[in-house]
Amino acid sequence: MNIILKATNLSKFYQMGEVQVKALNEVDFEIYQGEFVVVLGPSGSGKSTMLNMIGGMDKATKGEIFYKDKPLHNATEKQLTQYRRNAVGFVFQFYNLMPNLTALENIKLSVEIANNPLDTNMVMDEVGLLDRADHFPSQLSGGQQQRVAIARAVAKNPDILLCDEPTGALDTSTGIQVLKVLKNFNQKHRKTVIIITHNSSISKMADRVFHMHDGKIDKIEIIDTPMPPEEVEW
Amino acid sequence: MLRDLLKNKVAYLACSVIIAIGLMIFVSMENTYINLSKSMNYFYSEYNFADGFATVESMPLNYLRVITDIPGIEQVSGKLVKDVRVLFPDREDNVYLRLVSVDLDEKERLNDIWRMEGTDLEQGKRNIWTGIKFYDANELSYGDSINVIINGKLIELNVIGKAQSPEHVYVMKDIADFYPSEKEFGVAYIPYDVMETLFDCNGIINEISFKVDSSYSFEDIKNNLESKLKKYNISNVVERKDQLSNFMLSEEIAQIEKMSSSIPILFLIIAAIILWIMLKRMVEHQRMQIGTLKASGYSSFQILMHYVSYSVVIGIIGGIAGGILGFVISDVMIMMYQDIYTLPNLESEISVFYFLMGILISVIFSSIAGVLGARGVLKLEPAESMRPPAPVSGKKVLLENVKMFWNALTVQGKMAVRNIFRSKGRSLFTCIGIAFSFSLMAALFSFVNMFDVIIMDNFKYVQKYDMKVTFFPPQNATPIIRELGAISDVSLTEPMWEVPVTLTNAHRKSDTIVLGLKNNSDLYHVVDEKKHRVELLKGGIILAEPLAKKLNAKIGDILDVDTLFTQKEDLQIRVANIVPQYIGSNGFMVLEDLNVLLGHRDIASSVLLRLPNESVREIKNTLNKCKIVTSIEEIEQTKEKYKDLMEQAIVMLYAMALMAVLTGFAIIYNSGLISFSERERELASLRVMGMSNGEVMEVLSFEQIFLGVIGIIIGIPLTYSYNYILAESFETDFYNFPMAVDPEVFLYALAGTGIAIFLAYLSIIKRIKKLSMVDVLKERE
Repeated sequence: MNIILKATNLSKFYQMGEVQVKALNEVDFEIYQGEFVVVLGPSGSGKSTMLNMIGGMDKATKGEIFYKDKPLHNATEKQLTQYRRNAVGFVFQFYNLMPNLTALENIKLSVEIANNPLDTNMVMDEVGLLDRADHFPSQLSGGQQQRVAIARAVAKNPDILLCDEPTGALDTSTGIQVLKVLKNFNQKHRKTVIIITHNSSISKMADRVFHMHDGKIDKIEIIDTPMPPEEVEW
Repeated sequence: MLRDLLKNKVAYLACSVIIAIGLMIFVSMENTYINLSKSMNYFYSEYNFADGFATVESMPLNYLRVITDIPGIEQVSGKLVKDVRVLFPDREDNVYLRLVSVDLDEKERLNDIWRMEGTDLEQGKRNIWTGIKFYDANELSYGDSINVIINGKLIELNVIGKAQSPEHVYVMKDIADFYPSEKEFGVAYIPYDVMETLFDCNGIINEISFKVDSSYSFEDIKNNLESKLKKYNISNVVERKDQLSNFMLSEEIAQIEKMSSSIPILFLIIAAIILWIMLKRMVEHQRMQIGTLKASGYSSFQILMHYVSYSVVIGIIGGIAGGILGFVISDVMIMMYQDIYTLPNLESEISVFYFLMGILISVIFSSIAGVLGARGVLKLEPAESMRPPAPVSGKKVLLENVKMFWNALTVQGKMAVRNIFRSKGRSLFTCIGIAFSFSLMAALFSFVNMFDVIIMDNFKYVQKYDMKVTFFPPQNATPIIRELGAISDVSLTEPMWEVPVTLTNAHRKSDTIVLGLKNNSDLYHVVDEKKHRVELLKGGIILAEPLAKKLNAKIGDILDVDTLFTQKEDLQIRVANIVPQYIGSNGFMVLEDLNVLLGHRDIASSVLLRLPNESVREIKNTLNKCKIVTSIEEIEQTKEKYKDLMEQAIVMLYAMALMAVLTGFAIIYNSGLISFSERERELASLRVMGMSNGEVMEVLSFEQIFLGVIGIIIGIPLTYSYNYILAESFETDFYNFPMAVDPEVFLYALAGTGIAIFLAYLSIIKRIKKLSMVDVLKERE
């Protein structure tokens, strides 16, 4: 399988007064195209920092990270913007939809800037919200909002879907619906999905699980037969 | 709290600055008002300023006894007043002194003289005190002698001091001067006996001042006085309020008072609105903290007071800064007024009362803004406030029904438009700020432009002569014309008669000057709006528009004419035409007609000349020897004077514009900043989605441009009203301003407003660049 992300020695240190906090401490990993990866760890384990590095939102203190063959650790602001625009789709815990735009317009907003977007109606259909296209976020439930957020990320047709606690604000049944959508995208479009979570149940549906602790990857667990999202429980 | 204030330091600072500007104006104007009026009242009462003034051609001094007997007249005094030309060596300009006689024996003198420097005047000695401004402007010193021309003879007078009476606080040759020219015109006080000898008018006076008994009104006395003085050719009677110097001074004082109460309120309201919006936002932002405080037992009132204290702190800071600045400005203003008006003991005394009052007003305004902004605290329940606020609800806006417009918008555009309607209050506020800046700029540009146009046009199209020689009393024109025309280099001469008259139409009366001009005059043109020449019509009078308006006269109306220059009674004249006139407000007639009307032949009061510039000096020398010449006007010198005057006015106008633009800028800046910080999270999300800084900026700039366009549209009619207010405030009997606004000024104002918006947005661009995607997105976790 093709390597889509590769990190070596990836580190992020913060200076807090006189103490240096090692949020991410010499981490190495490879992520493959079409893989479903869960990054699992308690708060403060460094998973959010890792997400920021992968997402091109923050720069490493030391070490290297590559998207395909392109280095992200020394990319310019402009290159990072291009990377976020075309290679990564983000899904946030609190959806971060534009409150002033309807569901469909939220998706169009991201499609407008992408190089190779998918058909917006098709994506709306895939997340099961075609009939809600004209609704504003405030008129949608949490699960529906998260599905719009996923549709927004997917519609750009990125190589990587980066999800930060996508079910964190949802109840179990709504959460499972969201996971189904993510899994569907992963399988149907052969795209990489990376989920950052502290919910260990979700890890059961992954191909691989990165267990994080104190800024390091403790263990990389390979799951031979990932559980279908419908069976996940928490 | 300090941390919260520091976080938004620029916005709060802008707020304090607006409050400070408002209070600075309040304190400085009030303080100036108090000091000026105190000083004026002191001067008037200590130096026994008269209640009324009358001018006659010449009257025996002992006739004053008759005047004293008029019921209601408490005290009366008479003097000789004559304008004379001053010849300073090596100076080309026309300098005049108004010699005012002083009766050295008189006790409790009316319009007594305050001597600032020098020694006593003595009977029989040709010594004078000159007015203070004239003395200083011409750098005179004790013992200097100056040469004046009296009855065609060169006379030397010795300057032995500088002094001033309450009649001459503001010294102008006449109302047409608009602004004093201290170097070219002043008063001088001279012993009566010296003056009567010099002018060869023993026992004669030509000006009377009087005090009115408090149980009588001025009107009661006026008619009586006029009839008693008719035989001495009384030319006018004015009461104290219309006396030129006092009129200018008290108008100024009244205007300061008016401004001191209106302008600061405007600034305080703007600051209060900004504070209100900012606090409202802060309360929304800190709802978690508020919830925690409430849960731990703090009362709503205590928390409310915490937030209100923010605005009170801002109010106090702005108030103190404004107060201190106010005193500094007041000092400057008093200095400026000392330059214009000479008043004894005019100084900038600091009034603690206004300082404290300023702070109090500021605190009241900011507290109200604080309570309004923070009242959301009262509604929050602890449990509810611990949760994040409900998502802002998106709504369709009315504009979406305009399909053509809506479909043409990008998604960013749609976002911007909906956001404008989402926070209607703030959008309106921004629009008003933009409209305010734009229209003020446009109105001021327009006004400056107009000023230039009316003055320059006057010389280009109306006053086409190079020199005007005025004599008194009016003379037979033909011999004078012949004599002046014979001087080499004079290529054209024309007579003109300026007659002071009172015109009456039904119940409306107006004092004006009728110009009698040669038919088809080449040196003075009466023109219409398009600067085309208007024929003078035989048997009729042409009125200037403002005069016609005052008289409510239309073409064809018959006016009653009353003047002291005729023995005839019940004179009438038909209005033949009405023309615009921006400088002056006169009537125009054919000279022969005017003569016939008043029962004279061939009379004129001045001669207009066309001559080359280099001959001016020579001709002036010739004319100086002429006894009857009272003044010589050189058009070039007049133009210079107008230019100076214009420059002064323009500086003032620009200062006003600057203050307005600063405020507009502060409004745009603050509302932009608030808009930015309210949507920080949204904007950061856009960045995460892969939008560049420029694309994110587009969302905000679309909003700003949209509001800008609306603001400017509102600003256009507003410009006309500002223009009107400006014209009104600058308008005098002598100056009238056309109400037209040259569309070109809107382009300048557009550029100016664009720059202000752009500058305000530079700092927001900076903030977008610094926007930390990581921090913003983490916030809610």
